Amino acid sequence: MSALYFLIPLALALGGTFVALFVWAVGRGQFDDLDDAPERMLRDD
Amino acid sequence: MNAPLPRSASEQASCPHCGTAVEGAVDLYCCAGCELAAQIIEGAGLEAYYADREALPPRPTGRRLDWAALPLERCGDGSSEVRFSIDGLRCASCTWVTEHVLARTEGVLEVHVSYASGRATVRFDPEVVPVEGVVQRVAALGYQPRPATSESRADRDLLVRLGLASFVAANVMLLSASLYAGWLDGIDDGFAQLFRWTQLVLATPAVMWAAGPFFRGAVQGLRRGRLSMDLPIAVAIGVMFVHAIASTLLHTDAYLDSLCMLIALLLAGRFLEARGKKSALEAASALASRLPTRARRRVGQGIETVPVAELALGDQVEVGAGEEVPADGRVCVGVADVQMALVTGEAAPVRLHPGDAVVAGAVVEEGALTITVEALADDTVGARMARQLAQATDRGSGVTVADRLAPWFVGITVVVAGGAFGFWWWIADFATAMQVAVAVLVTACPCALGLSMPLAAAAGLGAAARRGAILRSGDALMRLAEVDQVALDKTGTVTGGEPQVIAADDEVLRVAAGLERHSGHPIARAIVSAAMDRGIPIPVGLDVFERAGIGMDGRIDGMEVRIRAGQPGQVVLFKRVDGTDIEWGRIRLQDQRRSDAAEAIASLQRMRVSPALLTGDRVAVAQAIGTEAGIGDVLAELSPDDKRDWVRARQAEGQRVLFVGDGLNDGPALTEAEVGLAMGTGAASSVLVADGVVAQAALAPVASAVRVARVARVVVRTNLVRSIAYNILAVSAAALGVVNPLVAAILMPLSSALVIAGALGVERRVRRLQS
Repeated sequence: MSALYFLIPLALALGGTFVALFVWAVGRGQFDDLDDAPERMLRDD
Repeated sequence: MNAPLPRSASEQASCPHCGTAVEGAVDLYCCAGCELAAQIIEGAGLEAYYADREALPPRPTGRRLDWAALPLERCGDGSSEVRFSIDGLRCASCTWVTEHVLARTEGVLEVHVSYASGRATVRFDPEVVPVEGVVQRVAALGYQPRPATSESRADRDLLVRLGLASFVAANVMLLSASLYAGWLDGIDDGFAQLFRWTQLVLATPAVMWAAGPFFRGAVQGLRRGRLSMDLPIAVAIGVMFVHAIASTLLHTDAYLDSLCMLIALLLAGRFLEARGKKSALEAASALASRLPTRARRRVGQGIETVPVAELALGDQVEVGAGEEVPADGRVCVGVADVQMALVTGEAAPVRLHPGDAVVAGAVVEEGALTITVEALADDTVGARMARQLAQATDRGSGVTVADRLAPWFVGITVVVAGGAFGFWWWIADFATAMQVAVAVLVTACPCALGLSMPLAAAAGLGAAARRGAILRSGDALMRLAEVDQVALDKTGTVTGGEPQVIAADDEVLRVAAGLERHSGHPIARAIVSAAMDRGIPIPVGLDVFERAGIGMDGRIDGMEVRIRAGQPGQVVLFKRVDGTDIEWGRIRLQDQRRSDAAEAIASLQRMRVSPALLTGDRVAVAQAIGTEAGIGDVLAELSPDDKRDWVRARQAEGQRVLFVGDGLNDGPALTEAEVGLAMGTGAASSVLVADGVVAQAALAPVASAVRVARVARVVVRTNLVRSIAYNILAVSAAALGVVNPLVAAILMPLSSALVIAGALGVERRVRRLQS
């Protein structure tokens, strides 16, 4: 159980990385148009 | 809609591209524009479009485009990027074919057209194809490019805050589960501290950064003396965080899970509200016309092209067929048919002569004019309307009911907390008293209260939009719920705004349609659609010639025919026999009331909203339409100021007025009334000053909007009552010492869930009322 002292900070670091990626993605406009991707998926290109 | 199969001569064929009826054995294209569009599509190898499409596309119009208004960006590698919106995309296949045609255009490197919003982003090599080439391609297919509204960055900021707050809330709650389990089974202090410190570390960015808007709002409210719900929220967050730091240092549990969940939920409410406002603004600007940015100015003997910004008063500008007038002014040379839908909402062009006034944004349909500039840029009618729009949107964010309760909230909370603190210190000790006081402050947090208004408003705006009425703000929705009087403009609102055929022989109609198919005039459109409605195949005309403002000439079935205007409301068809014109038939046209007008009026009356018809037209015509639509209160021959005065008079009597109109002459009344709705099919200027837009060519959305507004008002009230009831119960429980972090963690989400469920019920309730 003492592994928790190591695992929790590791989880924080991992989680933090994903939050950073999220912020980056929003900055690049990935979340601006959420209805386009589902439609596009249905097309035969 | 599949590509048509070969038919026999007696059956009706249709244009393979746009579907307009065409008489003939071979599938002819109805016009050169459709033929060109089909060639482009087939040339790009995209014939699958015709097989897959679910709706017919618009006919290519041949209007000239002002591509200089589109923003261009230079990219690092020498390419350029242009962004614009595309109107007229009727189904997903339209978007697909546009994107692919652009992708296969020489010089285009990357293209993305959104299936949801119709926004296009095209990266191209300007050495190979200029931006006008890109834009013309879209227009050649029949769609209309226009400048896109600028994207709001505030949305992204809110989304990042929400994302962070949600991440923190979820993880903090996870850790809390372990800590609460520890209450039952016992937990090692070492691990408990590890969890508590982790929670604190996680919560810090949420409190310090993500919750920023609430602290800023609270501070602004204090400075201006106008308190909003942000104050009690900020106080609760602050208290919980400070208490958490102290608790963690003292090895006891804190309220961090409730704190983080609270921040996430409140941010979610704000985000939904912002999204609702954004789509309303997008809809309004899609309908508002853009003003031209270039003009052709007379200089000495020649003509130079200059940006509109460089025009001076007294300059003479040339405007040709298909072009837009760049500034307000007066005609100095030339005669032309000019369509001024921007200000009058009327699609029918008006014949202008030297000395007549003209407005920026008007479109010259036939002829050419030289215009002396009389008002520029910021002074033009269009620009003034745009400024009014900016002011109107500011007015939208009013003080909500919840905000008015804020001072009471803070006051009562502080009093109860102080009282509980004093009481417990007296019968127990300081530590217990502190715990109780903190519990009171925490449970008093107006999370549910702060959510009830934005959620119900967002749900209401969505329900109204689905039924064809796009309102600008939740505030407008709440005001709409209060109206008890509705005033409707006649032309373009209760009536369709364009003439329709009310009497004609089939044969006469058939020949007339053969000629009128080649014209864009409203009368022509009326005749062609009447023929199509009756299932009459439209013959092919030869040598068809449109005489601006006079009529059509041509040859149908080997016979020379002409159409000329007769008495008001009539066109006459002449047959040329032995050199003279013989009258052959007449077609009567009239601007008809909308098919759902009577039903919509009846609906409004059932909701105890009294209708009235206000128009500038003649008394007799107004009375006739009024009777047909079921409106008893009819006022005719009114000026725009008369309409506004009528609205004021009703308001003085204590009534709350909804005004529905479509032209510039409705502007004063639209802004004076409690709520102003503009018909989306009407003048762009009325759309700009109204509180909302009827996005369909029908009146049913007006009745639906009122119904939705009433339901939303009920839901807001119910939510407010529930929130206040919860707060009273919870604060009482806290003052009695019953509340601790675990109890709070259960109670607070419960109250929010109640409010959310209430908002979700809006759509369901509206449906039940409709049936």
